[in-house]
Parts: sequence; C-alpha cells; structure tokens
Amino acid sequence: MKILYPFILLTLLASNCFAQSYSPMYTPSSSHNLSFQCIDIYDRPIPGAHFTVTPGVYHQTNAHLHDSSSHPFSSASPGSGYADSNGVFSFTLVDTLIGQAEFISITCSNQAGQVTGQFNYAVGYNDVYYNDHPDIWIKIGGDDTGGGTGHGTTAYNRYMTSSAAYGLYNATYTYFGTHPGVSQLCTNDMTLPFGGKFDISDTWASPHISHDRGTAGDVAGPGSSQCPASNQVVISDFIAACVANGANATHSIPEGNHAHCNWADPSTYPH
Amino acid sequence: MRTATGPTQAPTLTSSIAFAGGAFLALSAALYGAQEPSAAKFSPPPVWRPDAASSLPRQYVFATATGDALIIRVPAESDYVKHGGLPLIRYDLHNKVIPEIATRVARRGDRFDYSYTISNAKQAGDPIRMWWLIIPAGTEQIQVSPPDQWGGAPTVPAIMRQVELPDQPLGRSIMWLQDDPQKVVLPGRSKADFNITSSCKPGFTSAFFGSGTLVNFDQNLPPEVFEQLRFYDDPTWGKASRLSLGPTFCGDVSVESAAANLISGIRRLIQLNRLQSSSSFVADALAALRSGKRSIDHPPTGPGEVEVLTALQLTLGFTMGRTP
Repeated sequence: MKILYPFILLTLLASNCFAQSYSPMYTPSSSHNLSFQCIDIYDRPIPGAHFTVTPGVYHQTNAHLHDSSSHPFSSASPGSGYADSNGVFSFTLVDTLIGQAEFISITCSNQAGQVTGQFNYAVGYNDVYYNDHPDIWIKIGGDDTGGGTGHGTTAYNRYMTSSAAYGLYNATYTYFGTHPGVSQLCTNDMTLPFGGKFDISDTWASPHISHDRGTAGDVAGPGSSQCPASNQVVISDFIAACVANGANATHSIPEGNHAHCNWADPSTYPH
Repeated sequence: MRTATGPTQAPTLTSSIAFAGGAFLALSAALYGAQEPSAAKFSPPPVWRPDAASSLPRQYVFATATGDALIIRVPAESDYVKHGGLPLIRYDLHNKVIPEIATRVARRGDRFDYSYTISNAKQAGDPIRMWWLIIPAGTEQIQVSPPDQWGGAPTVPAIMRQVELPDQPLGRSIMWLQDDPQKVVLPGRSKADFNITSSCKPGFTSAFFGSGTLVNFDQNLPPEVFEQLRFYDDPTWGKASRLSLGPTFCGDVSVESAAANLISGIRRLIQLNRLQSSSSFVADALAALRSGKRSIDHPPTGPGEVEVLTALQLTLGFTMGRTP
C-alpha cells in the first residue's frame, strides 16, 4: 500500500520522510485544498480507504530559535475520513501566520493494513531576499549585536522583497546626499528569511506586525545602543528619504529610537 | 544566501521626433495625451464638521477648513475605541509654510546651471526645513550643490506628481533639507544658492515645501480609517507646491514634449496671475509653441516673462524678432 500525491508521480512514504522542505511554500494565512491517493502494491487505487491527516511543525526553522508549548502550526480539516472511489482523500490546509517548515503526517488504512507517509512543505514567502550592503549598512538587531529577540544573529533579520530592498537602498543614498559626511548607517529588523510573523517577544504573535512581509526596514536613530552615534540617522530625515523613494507615507513612522519605513500598507498582507 | 534583483526602470516617456513645421500641431496633440499625466488619483478629504457622525456616517477622515490638520473620527464600534482609544484625533500637518521660489538658469557649455532662491512669507506659521524639486524620471546625472549647511540629493523612483502641471508626467525629485533649527527658512526669511548643474534643458516643473515635521499616525487605528487615508501616500500631498523652472528635458529633446510642457507652464502662470493673457509676449509665445515657429516678435516685460523667454531660448532655440 502506498500514498500518492495524485498530480505528482511521487511515493511520499519512500522519498519524503522526515526531511524539511521549503517547496512547496504556502503563503501565511492562506488555505489550500490538498488531495492524496492510497494505492496498493500493484498501484491500484483503494476506494474507501480510511485516512487520517495530522499536521506538524519542524522546530527552530526560519530563524525561530525559541519555542514554547503554544507553538502554532497549520491545521487540516477534515482531519480524517474515507477515500473516494479513486482512493483519493481531500482536505483543506489552513496555514498559520508563522513562517516555518511544517509537515503533514498521512495515514491510510483498510482491513489489510496501514501505511503512513509524510508531506513536507513550508509556510512563508519565496520572494524575499537577503538584503545587506556592508559598505553602507551596519547590521544590528541580532544576538551578535546585543539585540537578540530569539531569532539568531543579524544574518537572519534582514530579508526583504526586491522592490522594498531597492527602496531602502535608494533612501540610504538620498540620506547620505542630504547629510554630507555620513557614509554608513545601521539597519535593524527587516523580515525573517521566509517572512511571516516576526515575533520579537517570542510569543508567536505581534507586535512588529509590519515586519511580517519583507516590505519594511528599521534604521537606527538617537538612543540606539547597538549603533555608533555617528551612524545614527535623524529619524524624520530618513523617513522623508524613504517616502521620496517610494515608501508608504502613512505607514512609515518614527518608532522610538529608529525610523521605520514600510514600502507597503500592512493591510495588504496577513499579520 | 540570495541577493536582491534590480528594480524595474521607469519607462522613458519622451521620443525624439524631428520638428516638422506645419505638421507639428497635430503631432503634438497626438503625443500630448501619451505622456501619462500625473493628476491626482485621490480626492482630498472632506472638510470637518461637527455633525459629521450623522451627516457623513461612513466618513472617518477629514481636513480642517484651513487645511492645516487632519481630523480622524474613529468608528465608535471599533476595537480601537472600545479599548480606550480616542474617538476623535487631530493630526497637525505642520504645513503652514508660504513659499516663493525664484530661478536663474544659464547655459555653460553643454550644461545648464540652475540656481534657486527660496523664501517663506512673514505670514507663514511654519519654517521651511525641507523642499523638493521634481526632475525627470531616469538616471541622468544631476549635480546638486546645496547652500552652506543644507543637504541636497536626488531620489530614484518617478513617483512625484506634477501638482502645478497635472498634464505632465510623474518625476523623481531632488530633496533638500536642513537639520539646524537656526538655519531653516523662517517666516520672512529667504535662502539662496540651491544650485543644480545638469545637461537637461529647462522646462516647467513643480516644487514642494514643508516644515519637515512628520505626521505619526497611530498604527493601531482601524483599517477603515487607513483606507480613507490613502491620499496621504501621495508624497506630494499636504505640501505647499509652487511652479518653477528646472532641469526637465534630458538627452534628445522631443520638440512636442517640450512645447507641451512650456504651454502648460504658461497657462499655469496665467492662472496664477504671474503672466497676463493679454500680454503681447505671452500671446506670441503661445502662438509660436502651437505653430512650431521659433521666434517671438514682442519682447518680454517683467520677471515672469523673462523667465519664460529663458526657457524658450535654452530649450527650443527661440529667438527674438520678426521672422522674415
């Protein structure tokens, strides 16, 4: 007996067991109809086979280096049922807000026995990119700079969509041009490697909602202990540079000791 | 690790088409509409009135009658209000600047020197700390030289709306700013020597002025409020705009584009009473631009007309005197 993902000739049991996979990658808070087929050793469908589907999560993925008993992951509905006349069972996967590697454990059974397979996937965005320019940006906001939030070093908090990355880059040069003598500034949180909830309080929830998509970046201003004083920006000036380089004016704001620039309205993405 | 890919370049809107005498007018009309005008996409918010809750029950964002503040009436049934947020919020725009801008343009070899003096009327309520001048989309190198202790630099994306010339295309900007409160342009003061050197020929453009004080919207406001704040995402909104000359035509000058820009600017100057439609010079200039003629019979009178003649001469090679 085998389980097949019906549109791909793949025997899940043999090839995909207990291995993280970032493909497919499902958008946070989206839902998907998934179908699996149960077949016998002669590759014949098993009508009426009983299925159970149990979602799960790989821990410490997408830079979530913290954990708790409330760690959320995607849900499947219905969680069990019977295959149709082609041996196919369908259910809806509702994805969490957390960007991470997940899996679904699938069991099909009949009176002759049972077999279990695993479908690996991830939740997140595959259009965010590592965004650093060491010649003009000093990385802050990670364990290595005293700004750790349970998400590793500064290598993990700096992913952005391409358009937002260029916006921040261009805003940086506009700022340099309007502040002669400044040639480096400190960039803090953007988003995690595959986006999704950037839970700086390690609670799998907000605040920091505007960093869930890779469209926002923080730049240190006065009062930032991680950034040398000579590299701290005048917050209102940097926000003005962001807005003149395409950032969303309503959602680019001063946030305490840093300029927060967002190239999108947070209502346009799940958070 | 992956690296970001490049942004989409703004399209080049101008095409170089040889001046074609009598055929010019029709050609101009056809291409004029292809310039992707930068007119406003959003209407300004309605003026605040105390009976707004009953008279405009689904309107949450208003402006004061004087235009210097936004009033947010937060939906009473929203979580924001239920959790103790204020039901009525005023955000001052700090936009009580009354700017004027004077431009000098001169050719130097194959480049043009632009020099600006800005002033803030003594009746203004806010200082000028930042200002922007729209320049064309693209990657043309423009040398920016701010006056002492001001900063100035170009921006990249063509997102700035030609508020003074809504039929003209979006542009990027040169942004100027001052961080020292003692050196901002206070009411009744002026500042000279904002200089630009560029190979781009002069045309009419828009300049914007502000105090540089940000509006910090509470990000916890309900979505229906932000839905009505979309006009604020126009980077030109809420800033005082003025018509100016600036580097406008880069590379090969499209005659029809240049003429359309200059006609639009002259019309705006007439609207602003800075030019008189009854002026012989103005009538000459408009007629020449529409017909493709490159000479003007009547001399300019007054600084506004001199400014127009400068642009006509430098951009389209206009001459003074009757054409034989």
